[in-house]
Amino acid sequence: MPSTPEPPFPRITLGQLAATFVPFAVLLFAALMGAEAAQNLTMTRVRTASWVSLAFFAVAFCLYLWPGDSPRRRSWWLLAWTFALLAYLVHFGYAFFGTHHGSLREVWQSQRPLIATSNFLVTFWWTADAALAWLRPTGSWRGVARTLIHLLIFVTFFVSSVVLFGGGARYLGLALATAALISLGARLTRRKGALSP
Amino acid sequence: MNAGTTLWLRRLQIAAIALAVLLLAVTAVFLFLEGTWVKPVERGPREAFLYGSTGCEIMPLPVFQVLPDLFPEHFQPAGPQAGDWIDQFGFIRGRPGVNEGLPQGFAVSHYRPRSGAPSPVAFVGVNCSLCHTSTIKRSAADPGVFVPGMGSTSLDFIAWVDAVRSAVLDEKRLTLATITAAYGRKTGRRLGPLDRLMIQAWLSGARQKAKENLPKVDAPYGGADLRNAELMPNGPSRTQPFRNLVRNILDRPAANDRAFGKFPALYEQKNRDWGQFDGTVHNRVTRSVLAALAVGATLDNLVIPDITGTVQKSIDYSLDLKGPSYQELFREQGVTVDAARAERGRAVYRAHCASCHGERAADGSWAKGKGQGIVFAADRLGTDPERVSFRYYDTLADSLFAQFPPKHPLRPKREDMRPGPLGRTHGYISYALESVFSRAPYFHNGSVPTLAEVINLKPRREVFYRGSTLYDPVDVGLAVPAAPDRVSYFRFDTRARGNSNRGHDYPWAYQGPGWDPKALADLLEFLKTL
Repeated sequence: MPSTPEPPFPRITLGQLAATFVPFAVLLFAALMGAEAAQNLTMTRVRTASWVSLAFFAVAFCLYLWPGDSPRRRSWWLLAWTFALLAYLVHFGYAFFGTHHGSLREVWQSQRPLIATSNFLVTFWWTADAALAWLRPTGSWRGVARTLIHLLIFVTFFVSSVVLFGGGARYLGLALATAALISLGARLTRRKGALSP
Repeated sequence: MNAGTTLWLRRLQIAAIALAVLLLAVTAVFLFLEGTWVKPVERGPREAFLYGSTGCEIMPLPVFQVLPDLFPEHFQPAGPQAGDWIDQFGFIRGRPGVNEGLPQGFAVSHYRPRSGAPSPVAFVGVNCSLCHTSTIKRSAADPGVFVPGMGSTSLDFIAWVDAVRSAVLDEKRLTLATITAAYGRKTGRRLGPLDRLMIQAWLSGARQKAKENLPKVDAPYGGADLRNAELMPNGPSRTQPFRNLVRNILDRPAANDRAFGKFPALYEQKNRDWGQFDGTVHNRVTRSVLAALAVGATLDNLVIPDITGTVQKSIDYSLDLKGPSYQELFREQGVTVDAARAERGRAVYRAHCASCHGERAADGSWAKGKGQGIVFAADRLGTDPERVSFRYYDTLADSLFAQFPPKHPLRPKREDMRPGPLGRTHGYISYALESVFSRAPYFHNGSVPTLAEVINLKPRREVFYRGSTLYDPVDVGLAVPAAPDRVSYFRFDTRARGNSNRGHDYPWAYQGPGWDPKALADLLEFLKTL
């Protein structure tokens, strides 16, 4: 991680907000209303809201991994990170209150302790991190905690979409993994180039 | 970028953001409204049984109200002079102001079919009381005594389903426009935009599903064919429950299925450990869930608390539900039971029947016979074997069980279903005979109209006509004519496959060795008292 003082988050431009919020609203609308035609309304909304979250997380994760840094990129990351979280909270709300009737015991019985704990951890950690990013824009961007929550969310999305559920979500999970690998590869290549004599 | 372009772009961005906010606001309002469409009604067990939703929604209420008007040829197959669709398919007429005035067994809810998702327009579905409630007509002029829990003796459900399918598949005559116009004519009201939207969505989905199912279930019959016993072999008071399950679960046509089952009475279910005529389901919830799945419920909507509650309350209602008393029912008609003969009949019953069927104890409970609840092989009883030998009989339970995800709250225990770990049946279970006079027609396939024929006091009729709920208090059972009339239209031919009235020759075969008509007459008198 860079040791030099990081520039603060810039103000979000109108163009950045429009470019992220509008797709977010359209995708969330499609996710929630498209479920109307499904057999299981709640479960479908749980699933489709997570797809929206995954899509925005993929953008945020790649921006986070991509080599270099700039205030402008941080703003894009913050928006993608935030809208991914909002979609995730919709997913979480339908899962917790809709599927599990707001019962912690039911969640634990249904998902078993490892997955249930991981899901709650992701929810609280991600929410706290996004809040910090907005409230303390001068703080460290690529800190250890933020890197860990990115990795945890990546693993959660990858495992749930590619391993647990399959179907159409598998392609989203594979796209996420591919994009992440490309970003990581670019980062490693850049670092190797910087270290070369 | 010049200042003008920048300003234009800025306005465009603001407009896009405003539209996006509006979109989310509309979504939020819709989701809020959606949460208000379903208003679960708190019902007691009896009300839940009679009016609650068991997740078997069929069509929007406005469509239900006008469909018979739009397709009189299907819903009045015997012509308008033979009565309306309620009469012609043997439903029990509802009361104005109660349950939208619908016939008994139709539940009104705001759940969409299959998903159980909320709907702005009311939907009509079927519930337990459709098949398990009947009337007993004591005379031709009698409107009939309403008996909840009794197996329907008149409902021609499969024919009605074909009438509905015929209508749904008619793309020219069943459209949103025709429904809207017919609804306006009938009620004087107009359908709102949300109602119209939901009806259109339902119509598209139902029609698509009906088309997809055509290769599997074949084209429906309609018009006069609905009363043709060659084409529609179920007739009143019967169904083919396993044909539906094979179609729904295994996705196969079940074309050769002749496993007919009459609608059984649900009295005093606490006296039964295993359900179904062949004793294949142990757990009462599982029994009800499987019945609901056969008529359109899904594993998704059955877990909605309101629907699960109705299923459970209906079960609770049936645990102690008493059947009617013969003596009380026919008191007004001056029909009495000869106490002396009944007492002599009790001895005959104890000698020949009680060990398998038990008997009513002095305290009103049912004293279990030692053979009660045991499955007897169909070939030993000699009764029709189709119900327990249909194709997939041995594998259907496994397939049914596999439908339930491991964590599904209604997932049965595998040992509660047979064939399974507790063996296979291939026979018929001997059950208690509470209020046996109101269990007509008799045998699992409804092939014997009266108790006098069941016990072989009288010869069993080979061909008769069904449809009426008129009761025969002398021979104790349904009055069935030898020729068709306006109400008794269904030709029941006991020589047809699945319709055999043979077997169960207890105490004696008709005019066979030991046959004692006097003792049988006494036995018949006693059976009136159960």
